[in-house]
Amino acid sequence: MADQKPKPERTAKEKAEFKRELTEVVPHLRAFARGLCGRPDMADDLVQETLLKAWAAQARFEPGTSMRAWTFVILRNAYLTDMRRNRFRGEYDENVAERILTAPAGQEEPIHLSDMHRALLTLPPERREALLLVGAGGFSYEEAANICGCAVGTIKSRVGRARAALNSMLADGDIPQRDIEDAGAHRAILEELDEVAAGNGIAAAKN
Amino acid sequence: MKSEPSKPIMSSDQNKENAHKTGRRAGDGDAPEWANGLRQLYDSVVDEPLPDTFKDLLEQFDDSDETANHKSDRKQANPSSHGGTNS
Repeated sequence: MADQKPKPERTAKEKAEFKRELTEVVPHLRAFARGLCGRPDMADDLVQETLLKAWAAQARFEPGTSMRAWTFVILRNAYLTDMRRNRFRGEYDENVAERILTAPAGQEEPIHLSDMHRALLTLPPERREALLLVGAGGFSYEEAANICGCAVGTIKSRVGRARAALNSMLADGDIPQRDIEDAGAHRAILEELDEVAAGNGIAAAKN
Repeated sequence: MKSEPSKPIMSSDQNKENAHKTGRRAGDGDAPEWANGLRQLYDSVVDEPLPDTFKDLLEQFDDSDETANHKSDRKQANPSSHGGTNS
């Protein structure tokens, strides 16, 4: 967002258009937020915060560009801030627990949506985020890199690692139960978040 | 005109437009079997009916805008605050 210049006050028509696009993107914001922080109520709080910030910052939105990408950046930043304030603990939504996801061919045990969600929430935040953007949100690597403010290669590497981790967790049915509530794990996540927020992902990926 | 079978039909999702020609799409190229589930997880939330809180919030945006734009008008609409003449 650094290279977006503030624009003069929008016309009523532009504002109406902005609001229409913002309205359309709300379900996607909810899905992204739910994937990031797990709990639906907290996710929705995050989306509300995002909408308020987006509305206040609408002069910085370039008409014709992706509203979804633009608002995801805002949501992501709000999430990182809240995470560092310890509001979210990556809690897992019990409501999805019984929903059967898919029964892959040749596999006796179906993968449950809950397994998927829990496995997702055990990933380090920057990998979870990358996988959500690319694997669930359908963003290209390039778009995801723009949203996260990091290099394309970094996103690819994060998605690759996230996939590998989910593969082994879901294939073996070996999903850590409450890893996220473990104090040590939580601290590690927060430390990584600081790295992510500081934009150190690019440097880290050079190794 | 023959249709080219080698050209995969892209989904309407604009985000696929940057997909490379390597045959891999960013989202689900070498998809393991759970990859579709990831999408389902996301889509299941997208497809949820929107809670009223969001509709209300979006409505408020218009209101607050109106207020900001017509503040001066509204001030005049408010009659004498210091009448004091009523018996």
